[in-house]
Amino acid sequence: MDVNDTKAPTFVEDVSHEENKVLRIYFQLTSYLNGIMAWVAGIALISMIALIVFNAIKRLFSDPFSGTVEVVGWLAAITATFSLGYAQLHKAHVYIDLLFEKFPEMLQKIVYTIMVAGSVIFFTLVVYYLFQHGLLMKRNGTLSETLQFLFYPFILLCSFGFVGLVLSLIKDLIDCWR
Amino acid sequence: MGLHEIALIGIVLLFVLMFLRLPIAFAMFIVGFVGLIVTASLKAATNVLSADLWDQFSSYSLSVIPLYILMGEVVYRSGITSKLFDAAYKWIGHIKGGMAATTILASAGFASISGSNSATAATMATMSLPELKKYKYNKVLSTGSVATGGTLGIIIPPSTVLIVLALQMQQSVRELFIASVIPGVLLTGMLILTVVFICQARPEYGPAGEKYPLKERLLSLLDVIPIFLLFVFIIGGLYLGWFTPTESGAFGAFGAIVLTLLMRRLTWAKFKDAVAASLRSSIMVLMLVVGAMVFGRFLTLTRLPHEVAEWINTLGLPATVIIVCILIIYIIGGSIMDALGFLIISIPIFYPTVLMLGFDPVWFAVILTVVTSMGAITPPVGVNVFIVQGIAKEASLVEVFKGASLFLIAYIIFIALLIMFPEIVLVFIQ
Repeated sequence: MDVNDTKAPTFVEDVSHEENKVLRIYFQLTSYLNGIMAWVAGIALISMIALIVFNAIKRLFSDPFSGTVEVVGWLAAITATFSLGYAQLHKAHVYIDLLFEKFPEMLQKIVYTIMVAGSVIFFTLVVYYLFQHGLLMKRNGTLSETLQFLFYPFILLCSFGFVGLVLSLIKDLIDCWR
Repeated sequence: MGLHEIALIGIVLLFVLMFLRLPIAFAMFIVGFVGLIVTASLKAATNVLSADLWDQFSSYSLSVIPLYILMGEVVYRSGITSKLFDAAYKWIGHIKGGMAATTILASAGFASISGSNSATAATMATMSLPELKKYKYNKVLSTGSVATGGTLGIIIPPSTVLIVLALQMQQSVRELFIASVIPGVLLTGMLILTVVFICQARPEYGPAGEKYPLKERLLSLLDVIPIFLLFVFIIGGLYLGWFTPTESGAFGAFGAIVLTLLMRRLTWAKFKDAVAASLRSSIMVLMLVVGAMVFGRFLTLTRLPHEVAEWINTLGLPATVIIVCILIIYIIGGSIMDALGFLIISIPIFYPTVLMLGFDPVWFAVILTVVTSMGAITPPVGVNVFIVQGIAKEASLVEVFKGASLFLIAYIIFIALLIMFPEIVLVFIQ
């Protein structure tokens, strides 16, 4: 996976050396963290395939693995949420720039900043509420239906996946004004 | 302020945010969340962001999306598409306009393992445009046939759009896949016939290529057969009930990896690229689906879709007239924004009306994929046209649009056929 394809930034002259350093660390951290999470997502995706295929073949000869649906669901959640930041770094989400392109450059920057800042606030809320949900599952000792397994760590991991998205969005915000 | 007014404000706000370049999925999340706070309560809205979000992301049925996408990516990156093109050319390249027809046939072949319009258009443009140029094809026909061939990506199963529609309409992925096989094949045939007609009228548009002996034609199929068998296995397995859609997707991805490895076409680098691209595409689609869930909850609470359905019912218009009006809205929507995005936003609004009018949901889903993929070659924002023009630098945007518009008549006839004869869609599932 092209973990390092989001290059470290080149800095404009009016940014001080110290600011450069902080930004450089932030950009690299965002890039590496999302890269690592993308690796985990990829491994989860391949594991999902392996489990489903193994289970389908196994059921031809004996009883299937009863927890397949649950485990696949957890792996799917990791696959999805751990790709969020990585996808944002690659601008993978669908948007319409039909009207936006016609705006003057400064207005584009302002509108873009408002949109990204709004997204940062919203997805920070998602991180918070998902994390709280995970903690609630932990406190209640909620077990999965089939495997009777404490699955709250997966919810906490999903909320961490959204952290990757928030970090990428903040990077976009900084990028817009550099 | 009444619930209907709130719903209308929500819809307008959604479009405003989207046109201000907020990703469509994010816009649906944010408007849906705020709408839920206004129409229900903060607790209900936060519950959607916690428990419901987890339920969606960990849903077994949604897990099918990355699996099919990975299958398409693996086959695409292994370079087997060039073999598809080669085989199609050897079979039909000798007729007038044969190279353009080859492009459409190879697009159909690629569409059977990819679920995306844009991927099909981009792949075929890279591969076939240099060949079309070599054989002195008219730019209008060559770029138009590539852009139009790409639309088959979401019509022929397995298609990401069909999966999303199945999830949104609470229909079976299996039925939608099976139902779209005949329409996919028929549309491919009609597009090829369009090329033939164009080249009969304007022979200079597409000269005939060389004719290959039968032995060479048969040999060309050797590299294509494994991919065809993979398609037959995953769709046939679904049809026969051997496995669920998720299992079909997993077997598809697994089969694609094994086949391309055996054919010595998959390297570690290509595999990593395929997985990375799958992750990017999958989360894009999943965020749209989950965002639509949040937005859909809000709309449902306002009861607007049901009120719209009831209001349309009181108009006393024939059902066919109403469905044609709805389809026209989809053509316009598909031409100004991404097909999947528009489908996801509009389904909660129109689907109750379609059900109330008594149309079959499977038929509606299939015709929607046809109509919105037609939008991908319709001005002003025909996505496929922009993709093809981006690759065929020497052709202007007007030329590509002109080329694609040659095929719009075939599309309109095909849609009319689907409306008049729903059996084309429903024959295998009834």
